[in-house]
Amino acid sequence: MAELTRTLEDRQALAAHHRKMMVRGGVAALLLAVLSVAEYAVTQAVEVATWYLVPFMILKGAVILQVFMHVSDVWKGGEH
Amino acid sequence: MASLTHASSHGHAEATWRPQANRLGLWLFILSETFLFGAFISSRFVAGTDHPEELNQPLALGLTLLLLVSSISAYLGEQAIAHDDRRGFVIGLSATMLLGLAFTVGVGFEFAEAAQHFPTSTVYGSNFVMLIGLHAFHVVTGLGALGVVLNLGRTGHFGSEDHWKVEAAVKYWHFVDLAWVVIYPSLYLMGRN
Repeated sequence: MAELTRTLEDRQALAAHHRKMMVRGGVAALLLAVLSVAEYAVTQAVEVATWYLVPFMILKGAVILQVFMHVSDVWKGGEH
Repeated sequence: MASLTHASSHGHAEATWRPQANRLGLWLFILSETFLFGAFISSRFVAGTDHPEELNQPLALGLTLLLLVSSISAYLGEQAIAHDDRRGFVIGLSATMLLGLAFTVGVGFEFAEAAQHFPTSTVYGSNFVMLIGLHAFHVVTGLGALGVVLNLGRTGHFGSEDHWKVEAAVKYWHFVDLAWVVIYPSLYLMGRN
């Protein structure tokens, strides 16, 4: 019975973690969409937008590296 | 008995360091790929930042959105198998592959247009074809890797305790997306028409 309860708790914890990771992915997706639209809008508004685009590249890259690729696990040694 | 204990302890130790070593190896590989893309991207700016006005901006924006959405579906698929949701994994990775295939077809159209407007005999044209071609090659190899893990996952492999191969293929796919995040503005948006 105890074994069964533990398994149930494990499953609930796993499901809760899954929901948390899905929300995290959703927020990252929204952020990437907003940054992409803003990046395109800047190129339309500014005649030569070269340097204005660098912060967008860095921000979008950081979101992908951290949220999707879990880069901080490399130095923290954790597992996602 | 002693050798059995030793073997068991050795197995436990390997199970502990093996995923970390795999992960570090993958990151070193990604770092080396970053240098490769960095060299190609920097060569694009040798002859200035301007780009031809014949570039198909709506197609490039569409391709960018396709790749970003494919990264999200890949993330959802990876998270699904990490939480024992096999159906979510199959849906996520199948969607990623379809979006990746659509991206590849779009790149084919891009190549056809590029050949008409800025041939490889021009500086911009040669940089464009090299950079887009290099990236497309990575998309195709990423699709291959995703196809392998999707097929294995469909037949019962992987789960919350063991999904390293899925993680590796999906990380590689995210890297392909990351490269495009730099390539797209470098080729299409920076400079003046």
